[in-house]
Amino acid sequence: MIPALPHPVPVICRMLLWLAARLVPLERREDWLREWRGELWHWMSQRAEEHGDTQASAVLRSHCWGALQDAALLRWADWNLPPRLREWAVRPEFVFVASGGAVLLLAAVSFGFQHTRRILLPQSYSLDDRLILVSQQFPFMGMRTGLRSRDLDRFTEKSQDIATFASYVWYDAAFDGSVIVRAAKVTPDFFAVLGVSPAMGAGLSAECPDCFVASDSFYRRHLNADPSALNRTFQVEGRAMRLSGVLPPGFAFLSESPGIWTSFPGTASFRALTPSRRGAIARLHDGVSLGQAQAHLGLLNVPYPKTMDLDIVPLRSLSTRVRRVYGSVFLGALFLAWVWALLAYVREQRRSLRYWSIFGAKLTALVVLLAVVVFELTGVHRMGLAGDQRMANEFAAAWITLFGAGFAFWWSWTDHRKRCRVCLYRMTLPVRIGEPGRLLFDFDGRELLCPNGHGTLYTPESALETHEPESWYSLGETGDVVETEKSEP
Amino acid sequence: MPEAVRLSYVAALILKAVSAGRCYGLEIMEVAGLPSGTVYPALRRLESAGLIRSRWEAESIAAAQQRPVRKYYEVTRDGAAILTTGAGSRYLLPEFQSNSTPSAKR
Repeated sequence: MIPALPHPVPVICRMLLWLAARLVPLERREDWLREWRGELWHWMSQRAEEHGDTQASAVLRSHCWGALQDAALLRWADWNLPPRLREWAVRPEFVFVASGGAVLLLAAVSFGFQHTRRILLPQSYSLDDRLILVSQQFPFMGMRTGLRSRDLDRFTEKSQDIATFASYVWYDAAFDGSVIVRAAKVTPDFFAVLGVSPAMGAGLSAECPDCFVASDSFYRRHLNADPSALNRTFQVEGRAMRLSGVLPPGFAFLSESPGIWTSFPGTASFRALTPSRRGAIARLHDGVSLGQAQAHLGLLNVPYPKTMDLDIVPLRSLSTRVRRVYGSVFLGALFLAWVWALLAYVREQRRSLRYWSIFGAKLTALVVLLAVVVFELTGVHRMGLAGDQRMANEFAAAWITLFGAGFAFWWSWTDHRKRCRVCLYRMTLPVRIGEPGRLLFDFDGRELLCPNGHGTLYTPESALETHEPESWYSLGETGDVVETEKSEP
Repeated sequence: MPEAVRLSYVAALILKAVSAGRCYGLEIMEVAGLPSGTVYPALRRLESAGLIRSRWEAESIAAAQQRPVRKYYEVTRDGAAILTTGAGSRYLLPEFQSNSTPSAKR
């Protein structure tokens, strides 16, 4: 019978042991539990005491985590992966399959991958070439600044090519006094210009300045998809506003982020509103080309200097541009993957080829993952700024890609050069070698050892001419010779 | 001696600790300076490779000392051979390679 413990066993330790015991194969469970309970007793009565009361529970937890690791390994060790599968798991193909699987899983699990979804699924409105974004000034640092508010009326009145103009501003709004949500303030005809009808209720109109529409995700998340919320009054920005409609699921205009769409009180009030610039979209008349519209609107923009030239971009081109940019990243990464995989298949010719092919595979997998992350993260629009932020995001994406790719290369290289050239295990047991000498606090370098005994790696402390360069010394055969000699009489 | 047995550094260290008379898990952890999550799985692997074997101590001994029974590990002939002539010794420092006298814990 086990004597009573000096302290009660913490709940977390009991839970860990219970969980670990469930993992251990049934035929070995009793024996395993007996050993671990005995060790726990020893630990609590002797070792944990040495750490003092304040740390005892932390030390115990760490000890019990070990039980979980032990049990998990017992369970998995019995599975005994087939040798061919185990061998395959260190090949570059495995890296491709695993990283590809991870991306697929990510895409499947996060159904909120809004940009991927926007590319794969059709938009809820027609993105034909007549739907355009209009801005004064060409994109500066990748960001469009929209139109001056005072020019909007003039453009609307005098342009013969534009059927309808609408404008928008992003902002953050307090909803029901407690939640801050992304919102957009738009002209009442905004959705008509896009050609979008609400899935429920009615859209915005000039007759109802205190109405707002909600996105489908906002309706589900904050209003619990309750149909009775329609036509109810909520506090938006401290104003009592009525929910007049809900947008179709998946609706996105440059972003899916805005949950609330409110309307400007009226066109004439633009001048009085800040900020002085807002994003503008327009629909061209039938038969009017982009070039004609550019020329005509340019004439209306004449009073302004060259730096304020008008820029017209079809809304569709923004998404196709994104597809092109990221599509080329994917294709490039795919191409690299194929090249490295090809090299990997002939790796038996030379061992070093396998080493470098896995390095390439790792780097490629990182680049693909980076592309996915950049693609999704930089698509999130920064709210509160006027104009189209898509271009700004592309600019940010370029920088993130550049630095990310640099980091991916640096990490892959740093990680890989410290691995065994034969088994690719991480080298261990660093030993400082050489003498302190030429420089203050200087020593020659360090030697790392392969945990499977394949060789050693000498790495100089700093890249000086006086130091030997990094070098790999294979123990593959030498080690065996030494051992043989030792065993001989 | 089993053919083509390659020990990792940790396995060699634990094997050496067992051969030096550090006989149950907690004691091995203490002498090797390794956490329980490393030591116990390594002990299982060494046991399944036939380099060590385990046995429970007699309950009467544990009862006399007012503690639970311990599971003791000891090196098999194969384990000892590996340690002195095989892959295991490659990692061990010379002072660790000398045959230390097992401490009489049992």
